[in-house]
Order: sequence, then C-alpha cells, then structure tokens
Amino acid sequence: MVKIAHGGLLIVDDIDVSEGFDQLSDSLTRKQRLVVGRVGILKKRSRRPLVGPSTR
Amino acid sequence: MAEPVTQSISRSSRAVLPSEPIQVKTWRELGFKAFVRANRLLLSERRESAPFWLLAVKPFPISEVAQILSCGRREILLMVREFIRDDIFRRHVEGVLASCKGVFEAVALLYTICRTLRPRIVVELSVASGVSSAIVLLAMRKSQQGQLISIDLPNYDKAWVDAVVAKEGRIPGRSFVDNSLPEDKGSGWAVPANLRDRWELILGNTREVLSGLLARVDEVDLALHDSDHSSEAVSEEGLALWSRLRMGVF
Repeated sequence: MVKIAHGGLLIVDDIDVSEGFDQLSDSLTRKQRLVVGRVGILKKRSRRPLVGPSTR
Repeated sequence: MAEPVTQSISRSSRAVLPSEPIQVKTWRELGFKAFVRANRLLLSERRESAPFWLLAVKPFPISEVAQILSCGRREILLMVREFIRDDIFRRHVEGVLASCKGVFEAVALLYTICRTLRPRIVVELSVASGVSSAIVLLAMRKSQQGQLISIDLPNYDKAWVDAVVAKEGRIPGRSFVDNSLPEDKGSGWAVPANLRDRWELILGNTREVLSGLLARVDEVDLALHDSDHSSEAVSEEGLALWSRLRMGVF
C-alpha cells in the first residue's frame, strides 16, 4: 500500500541549469518544496495548482 | 542548506546506526568529502575507479527529507543502510559506471524515496544508461510492488537524430541532443535483466508520447523529470506530470 499521507512527488534533476523548477514551485508552500543539491522535490498535498509561465 | 549526513547522525540518531563496528566506521567516514572525491573521480579519466557506494552516500538533509516524505528519520536511515548494503547491486553498477557519462547523483536519496513512498506508478522522463531507472526498480523489487514507465528519446541513434533534424531542423521539444550514451548501447542498457519485469520503456519524444502515457494511468505516485532542461520544457512537462500526481492529505 502507498502511505495515504503521502502526496505524489515530482523530482526534477539539474535544477541549476533551468529556471523551470523555480517557476513550478513558486506557488507551493515551503513544506512542499525541497532542494537537495541539484535535485528539486515538489510534493502534492492540496488542490493548489502549480503556476507555470504560460498561466501567469 | 544541505546538512551533512555525519552531522545529522551525531545529533540524535545513534540508536539507529548500524550495529557492526565496521559499518559504523564506514558510515561515519563517508559523507561530503567522500562524495566530492567520488565526483572528482567520475569527472576524471579515472572515473572507472570511483566506487559506487561513494556516489551512493551523497549527504542529504535527513530531517527535511523525512518531513517531505512524512516519515521518521529512523526510516530514512534504515533505507539508506539497506541500499548501501546491497552488494550485488553495487557490484553491478560499479561495473557499468565506467561507461556512463552522466549519472543521477542523488542515488541514495532516490532509493530512499522509492522505498518509503512505495509507489505504484512511477513515470520517468529520460533514461540514458538507466542507473536511476535501476535504482527505482531495485526499490520496487524490495517493496514487491510498483511499475516504472520511462520515456527516453533515442538520442544515441544517430540515424534517427539526423533524419529528424533534416526534416524539422531540430529535435522538437529539446533544446539540445544529449549524447550521454555509449555509441553501442541503447536506452537503459545499465538496467539489470532481473529488474526489468516491472519496467516499461517508451522510446520517443516526450512531447509526443507523455500525454498518451498520462491518459492511461489513473494516478502517478512519483515522477522524475530529467529530460530537456529548458525552462519551457520543465514547466510544460512538470505541469503535465503534476496534474496526474496523487493527492496527499494534511
């Protein structure tokens, strides 16, 4: 079983070479976002939408 | 800021340290310096001499990872220990590393996430040699559940690339062609045969096949984006993956 408290995770590699990750995570809370070196992790915990550049 | 593993352990996790003295010594000695050394080796002509376990134990902030995974620090440490103790997998990866031009560097973190989350569906954009795919599949085998669906542009296929570039002027959806595979190898060549039963590999351009893939899965538990790193691609593909990610609860 997948643990129910877990939201899905989006892991983005090489975030240092692209601004895409920052754009994706702008609308999320601090608890939904983690950066480990060049790897970015976003956690889906609510129906709050990500805000991409095309929707701004 | 990333917290070195050794600091995290010395603060409050003595009870969950591996019991054998040699393991404790190994764990304590490894850490950021070891990772830097491994990275230096990987980037040099002597990269074949970099042991995989040096790469595997790249420090990550245990408390923060535990928080985002909604689990305890002990669970994180146990999963890292499980990973670095898998000698069969370690020997396999050490054997293929010499031919890999680039490796997803947070391997222990990826394994820990997969073991803790126990995902049913993982979608991976970009495979290359397949070390990260193999790590996800290893975690799935240990958890005895899950399916990995990977998409990879067959960028090593020079004839394919030349044909598309001749027709389109460039590879649609990619700002560059990353020739990170050995010329005689295909996508995912580094994935061990005994881990492939939970793996579906789709060869093609992400922009052409991702929507079809997401339409046939109910929910995605974990998505890995390592394909085109242009801001446009990360945003578009990230939004598409996010829309299918499983909802969590507070």
